[in-house]
Amino acid sequence: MKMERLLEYILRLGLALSLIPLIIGGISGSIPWQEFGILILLLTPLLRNLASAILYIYNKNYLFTFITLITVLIILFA
Amino acid sequence: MSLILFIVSFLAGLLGSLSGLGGGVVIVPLLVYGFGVDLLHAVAASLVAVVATSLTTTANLLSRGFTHLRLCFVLETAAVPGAIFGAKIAPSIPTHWIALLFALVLFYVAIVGFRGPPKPIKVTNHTSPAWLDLSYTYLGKKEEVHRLFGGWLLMGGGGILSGLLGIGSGSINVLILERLMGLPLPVATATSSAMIGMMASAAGWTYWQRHLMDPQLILPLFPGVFCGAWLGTYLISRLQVKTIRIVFSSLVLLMGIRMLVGVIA
Repeated sequence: MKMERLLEYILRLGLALSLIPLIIGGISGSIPWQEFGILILLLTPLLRNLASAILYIYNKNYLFTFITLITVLIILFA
Repeated sequence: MSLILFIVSFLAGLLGSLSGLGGGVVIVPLLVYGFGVDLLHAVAASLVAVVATSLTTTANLLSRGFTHLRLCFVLETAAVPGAIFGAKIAPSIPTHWIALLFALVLFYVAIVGFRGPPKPIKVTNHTSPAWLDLSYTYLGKKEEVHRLFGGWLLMGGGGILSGLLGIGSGSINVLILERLMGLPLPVATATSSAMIGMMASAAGWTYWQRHLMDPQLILPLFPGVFCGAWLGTYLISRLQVKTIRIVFSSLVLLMGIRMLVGVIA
C-alpha cells in the first residue's frame, strides 16, 4: 500500500503543478506558460513510473525496476 | 469560443464520467464538427484532456486499493509503444480513414453503453508466469491473471487506437482485462485507468514533437473535462446512472453517424 500512496501523491502533485502555469498562462495570455503547464501534465505519468522504479530498486525487485523504466525510456527515445 | 468550448468539454467530461465510457471519445468529433478544428490538432488536444482525466481518476482509485499496478506496468510495455506508433503514423494516414476508424470506435462505445457493463465470465486456467508474480488479492481471495500474452498483445492494439484517435480506449481496455484476463470489473476499471494516462502521455509527446499541440485550444478544454470528470465521480453514486448512460450512448451513436456521413461525403 506504501507504493499506491506515494503514486497517488505524485499524480495529485503533478495535476496541481500543471494547473498553476496553465492558469497563469490563461490569465496573462502567455503561450510559453500554457505550454509549460501542458508539459508538466504530460510528464506526470513518466514521473509516476520513475518513482515506482525507485521503490522497486529499494525492494530489490529488479525485474519490475526494468519493466517500469523501459516504458519511460521508450517514450523519451521514441 | 473559449467559454463555449469550456462548457461543452465540461459536459463531455461529466457525461463521460457518469456513464463510465470516458469523455475523451466525444471530444474529437465535437472539436472537428462543432468548432471546425483540424483532426490532428483535435486528437492532440483530446490526449491532454485524457491525461488530465486519467490522473484524477487514478489518484482517486489508487487509495481504494483496486489498481493492479504490477499488471499495469507489464501491459504498458505493449500499450505505450502501440500509442507512440499510432501517433507517429497518424499524420501519414488520410484523414477520412482516421475518421472512418473513429466512427467505428464510436459505434462500438455506443453499443457497450447501451448493453451496460459485461457480465462476469468464468475463465479457464491460463495463468500468468509465476516469475512475474501477478497474483493479487480481491475481496480477501487470492486471484490469478489469465491469458497474459494475449492481453499484452491486444493492449498494443488498444495503444495504437489511443495514439491514432486521441481517445483513452477505456472501454476496450476494460473488455480485455475483464473478459480475456479474468480481472473483476473494479480491478479492471482501476488498472485500465492507470494505463490510460501513460498511453495518452506517450502519444501526447509524439504530437508535441510534431508541434500539433495548440495551447489556445487545450486551455479551455483541459479544465472543462477535468472539472466535468471530477464532478461526475462525485455524482455517480447519487444519480440514476443507467438513464445517463443511455443518453450519452445515444449522443455517441449520433456522433458516429455524423462522422460516417462526413467520410462518405
